[in-house]
Amino acid sequence: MSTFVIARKEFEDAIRSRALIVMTTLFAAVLAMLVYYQLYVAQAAQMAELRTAESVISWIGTQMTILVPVLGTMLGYKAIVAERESGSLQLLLTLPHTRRDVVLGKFLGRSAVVVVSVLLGFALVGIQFAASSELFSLSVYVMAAVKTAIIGITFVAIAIAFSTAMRTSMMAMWGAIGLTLLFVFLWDSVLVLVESVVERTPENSPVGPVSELPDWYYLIKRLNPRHAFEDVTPYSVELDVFYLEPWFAVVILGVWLVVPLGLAYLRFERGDLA
Amino acid sequence: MNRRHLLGGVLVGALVLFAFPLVSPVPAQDPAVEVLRDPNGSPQSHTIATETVQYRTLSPEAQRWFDDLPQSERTQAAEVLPIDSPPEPWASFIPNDPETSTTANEHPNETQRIQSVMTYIQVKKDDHYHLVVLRRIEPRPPQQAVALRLGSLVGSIGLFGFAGQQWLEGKQ
Repeated sequence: MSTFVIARKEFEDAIRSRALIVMTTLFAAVLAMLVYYQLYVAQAAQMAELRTAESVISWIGTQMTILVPVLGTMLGYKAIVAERESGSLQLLLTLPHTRRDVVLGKFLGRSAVVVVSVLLGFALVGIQFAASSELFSLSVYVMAAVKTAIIGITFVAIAIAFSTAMRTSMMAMWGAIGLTLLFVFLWDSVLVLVESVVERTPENSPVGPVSELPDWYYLIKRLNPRHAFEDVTPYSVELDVFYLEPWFAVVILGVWLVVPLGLAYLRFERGDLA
Repeated sequence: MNRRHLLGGVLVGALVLFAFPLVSPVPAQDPAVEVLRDPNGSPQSHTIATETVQYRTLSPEAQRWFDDLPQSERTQAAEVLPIDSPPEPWASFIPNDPETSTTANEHPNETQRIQSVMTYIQVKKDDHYHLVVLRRIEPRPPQQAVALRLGSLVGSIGLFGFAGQQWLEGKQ
């Protein structure tokens, strides 16, 4: 019960501080631009007939997974550490709330802000998309909205984990934003490094010197929460391993949701607040 | 002006801006055909071609149309023409609209989809085969029209946001 009281207060604070409105407006505006870009500007007009609802919405969803992690991180990284620094956390804990209530409540409240922003943005732009293009598919669009919201929640969890575990806002910011930058902008560079180490040419290849990557390389690619829902293997590669199945996205995101927050909570539970 | 009046005014403005792209969508462009002629005739027949046309059997108008085609390997040099401009038999070679054409395969793959919007014809002239590629395209709409409607939508989002904030603050 206490958890929900804190979650509700967090949500109301987001309204008061205009974080909810700013996030929703920003998200919807960017989504609108991407939809228009994709429908009327982006792809060579010559290829218009080749586009499908899946390809268009998937592209839009992928672009939104650049914005959502940043928004989730900005929303989450100060959640606990700022109150710790100001001393209001100690005051909060004098009320009948446990440290677990605080961590979970903050996580739920701020995740709700991300979910509301994402769903409102998708709904508003979806009306325009559906009315102006035959490429709109409700089921695919709803699925993209849900996936985007889940990725947003994951990054809120990671940011709150840093906020819970660190003693200063600066350290929490470096940790959370650093990890987000890694996932959003640097992951591909990491993969190139891995690729250069593990790539090999199969012996007696009938089609000549082609390179081959081990199966687990694709798992590393997919471990980035942004890519969890994607089919990370190229068209030419067909692998039959469980960690590349669609259902494994739930495991990857589940781990990202639970492990950082759990570890941070353990540190927070045992640590001194002063 | 109290909060209620302000909220009402902003909401009406947001709804008007939001409705504009719905009431007046980006004008659809008539389909066109992009034509490209292989500059180097080959003494051998092209396997990719689905049809072979004898130059001498073409009507003078169809011969002139073929002779006037840009002859470059670069796609940028291809000519874009109104879909109803090529004379027969060229008009009949333009691929059908994939939306309206009925195919046996309801879920074509990428290759089949590409093939459905392109036709490869070869013309036999002076013992050489000249490949002609016809591609059905949907020209890009005027960017001013797109920008106007996008601006209207983004403006409405901003106003909805402002109205939403006013409403939530009023509720609290």
